[in-house]
Amino acid sequence: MELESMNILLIEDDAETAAYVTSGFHEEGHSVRHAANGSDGFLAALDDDYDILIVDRMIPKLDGLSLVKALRDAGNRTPVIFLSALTAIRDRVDGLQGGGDDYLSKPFAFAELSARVQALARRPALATEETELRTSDLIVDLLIQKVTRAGTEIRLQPREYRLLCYLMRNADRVVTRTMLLESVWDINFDPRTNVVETQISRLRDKVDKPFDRPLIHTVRGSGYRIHG
Amino acid sequence: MVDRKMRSLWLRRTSRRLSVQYSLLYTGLVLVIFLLAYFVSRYEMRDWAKDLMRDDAASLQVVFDEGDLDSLRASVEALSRLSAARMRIFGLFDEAGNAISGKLESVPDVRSSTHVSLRELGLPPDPSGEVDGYWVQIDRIGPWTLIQGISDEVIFELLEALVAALVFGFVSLLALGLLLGSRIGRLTEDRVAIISDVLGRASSGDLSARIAAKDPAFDDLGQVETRIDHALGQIESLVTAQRQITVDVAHDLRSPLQRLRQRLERLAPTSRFEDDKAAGLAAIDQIERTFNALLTIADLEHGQSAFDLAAVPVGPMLDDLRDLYEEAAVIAGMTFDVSSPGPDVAVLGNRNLLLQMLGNLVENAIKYCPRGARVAVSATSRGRQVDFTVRDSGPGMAEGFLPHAYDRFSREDPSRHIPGNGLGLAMVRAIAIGHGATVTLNNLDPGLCVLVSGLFSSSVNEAALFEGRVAR
Ligand SMILES: Nc1ncnc2c1ncn2[C@@H]1O[C@H](COP(=O)(O)OP(=O)(O)OP(=O)(O)O)[C@@H](O)[C@H]1O
Ligand SMILES: [Mg+2]
Repeated sequence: MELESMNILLIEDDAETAAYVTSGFHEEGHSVRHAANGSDGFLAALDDDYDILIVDRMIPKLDGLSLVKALRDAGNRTPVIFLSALTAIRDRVDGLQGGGDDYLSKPFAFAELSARVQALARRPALATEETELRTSDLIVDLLIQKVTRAGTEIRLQPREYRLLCYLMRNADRVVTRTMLLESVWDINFDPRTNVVETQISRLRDKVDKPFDRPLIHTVRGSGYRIHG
Repeated sequence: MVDRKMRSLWLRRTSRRLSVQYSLLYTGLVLVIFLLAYFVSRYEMRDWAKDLMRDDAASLQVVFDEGDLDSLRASVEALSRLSAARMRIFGLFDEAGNAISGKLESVPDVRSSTHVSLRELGLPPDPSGEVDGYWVQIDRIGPWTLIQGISDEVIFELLEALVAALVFGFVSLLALGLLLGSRIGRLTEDRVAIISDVLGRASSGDLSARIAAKDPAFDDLGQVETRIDHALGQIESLVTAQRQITVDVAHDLRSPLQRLRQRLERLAPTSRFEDDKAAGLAAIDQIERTFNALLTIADLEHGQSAFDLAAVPVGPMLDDLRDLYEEAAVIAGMTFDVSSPGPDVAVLGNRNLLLQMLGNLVENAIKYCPRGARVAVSATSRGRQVDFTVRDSGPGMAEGFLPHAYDRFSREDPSRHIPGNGLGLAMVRAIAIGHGATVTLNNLDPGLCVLVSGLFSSSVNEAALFEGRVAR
C-alpha cells in the first residue's frame, strides 16, 4: 500500500491524545502539525496547505465549530474531521452542517481515525463526473450499474453493489466496519449483528472466489481494503 | 344496562352531579315545609274556628237572655247574612227540631267539634267544588238548638297560596341553581381539565408544562394550581440537574477513556497479552455504547435533542431493517418476516432513529426467543397514522415485569447470562415519544407483541413543510 504521505493539521488541546494521534500518523509515514488551541489552529490552517484538518470540538480560545465555520467563510475547503466528546444527536448534525466532513466521537480507535482521514484526504475533485470505477481487472460501469471482472459480468444485489462501489472509491485504503455501516447502510448506530461481515463474504463469493487473485482484503483490527 | 351506563357517564361531571343532588335535596325540603305548613295551619284553623264559634254562641246566649226568641232569630239571620257566602253556615232549630233559620233543613246527626261533610249536613254539593264540609259546633240556647259551621276552604286557599309560592320558589331556585351550578361547575371543570392536562404532559416527559396559575391564588383551586406549578418547577430543575450530571459524567469520562484506549492500543503486540488487550478494548467499547445509549435516551426524553425530520418511506426502511437483522435471526434458528404497507406510505420522522428503535426490538426478539421462534415486523397505516408492530413467539415477559420493562437498566433475568444493559426498551420508548408515538407491550401467550403506534404519516410534499424543523 504505497499511499502518498499526507500533511495533517491536528487541533486538539488534550496533550496525551495529541501525542497518540501524532505518533500514530508518523508511524504511517504522514507529517502532523499540532495546534493546542483554536486561534493557533485557525492561523495554521490558513497559512499552510494541509491535506486534512483534525479538529477537536471543544478547544480553548476558539471552539472547533466556529473555527471551521470561519475557515469555510475564508474560502478554505480543506477536508475536516471533528473529534468530539459531545454526543447528543444534535452535536453530530451541527458538526456536519457546520462545515465538517466527518465526525468521530471519543473514545475512538486510532485505526478508525486513520481510515477516515485517508478516506477524506484529497478526495478526487467532485466536479469530474465519474462514470467508471476500476481496480485491477474489476470494473464497475456506474452509468449502467454493470460489474465485470476479467470481462465476465458479475450480478450483484443492490446492497452488494453499493458496498463494492464504496470499497472501490476508497481503493487501497482501509475502510472500517463503522464507515461501511454509515455509508453503505446509511445508519449511525451499531446493529450488533454481523451484517457487514456477511455482505463482505457474499461479495467475495461473487467477486473474488471465481478468480485466481483476491481483491478484497481483511485488515486485521481495522476493516477491509480493496486493492489490485 | 346501556341506559344506566349512560346515566352514570352523564353524572360523572361533578357539576351535573352536584346540581342533581342539590335539586333532589331541595325537593325534599319543599315537601317537608309543605306538609308542616299544612298540618300546622289546619290545626290552627280548627282552634280559631272553635274559638270563633264559641264566642258567637256566647253572644247569641246574651242576646237570648236579654231579649226573646225573636231577637235570637233576628241575630242569627243577621250573622248568616254577614258572613261570606259559603264560609260559614248557621242553623237554628226549635224543640221539635224544625228549622227556624238558616240553610239547614233538619238537625243533622253529628257531634260537636268535628269536621262534617256536606252530605252529612244534608246540603247539596258546592258548585265551585271548593267546600266539601264544615267544622261544626252545636249549642243549646234556651229551648233551641244552634248549629254553626266554618268551612275548611280558608285553609285550603291559604295552603294553595303557600303551594303556589313554594312551587314558584322551587322552580325558579332550581333553574337558577342548575344554571349557576353548571356555569360555576364549567369554570371549575375547565380549570380541572387544564390541571389534568398539565399533569398528563408532565408525566409523559414534558416537564416545562405549567398551569400558569394566578399568584396569589384567588381561591382554593388556585392554591392547588400554584402548588402544582411550584412542584413542577422543582421537578424540572431536579431533572435538569440530574441530566446535566449524566452529561457531565459521561463527557468527563470520555477523555480518560480515550487515554485508556490509546495506552491499550499502544501496548506492543505480544502474544501473551494480546487477549487481555482485546478484552480491554472490548470493555471500553461496551462502556462507550452504554454512555451513548444513556445520553441518547436522556436527550430524547427531555426534548433536548432536536433531530431532523423527513418523510421516511416505510417500505424501504423495513427492507433495510430486514437486511440488517435477517441473517442474525436465521443464525439463531428463527424465521424473520417483514411486511410493509403500501408503497407510498411514509412516516414523518428520523430514519436513523426509527431504524434503531425497530432494530432494538428485533434484537430483543432474537436474543430472548428460543430456536424455532418466529419474529414478525409489520407496519400498518390508518388514516394519518402509522403503527409498527414487532411480535415474536418467544417466552414473553412476566406480567409483573411489564411495567418496569422501559426502565433504564431493568432486565427480567438478573443473573445477566444474556448480554445486555437493559437500555434497549428505554431507548425504544424515548425514540417513540420523540416522534409523538406511544409504545405498548402485550404478552401473546406465547410471545411478546410490541406496538409502536401513532407515528404521523407523511407525503413527501408535506415533509417539505417540515424541512429544517425539529421534533418537539
Ligand atoms: N422479546 C422479548 N421477549 C422476552 N423478554 C424480553 C423481550 N424483549 C425484552 N425482554 C426483557 O426485557 C428486558 C429489557 O429489555 P431491554 O431491551 O431494555 O434490555 P436488554 O435487551 O436486556 O439490554 P440491551 O437492549 O441494553 O442490550 C430484557 O432483559 C428481557 O428480560
Ligand atoms: Mg435489548
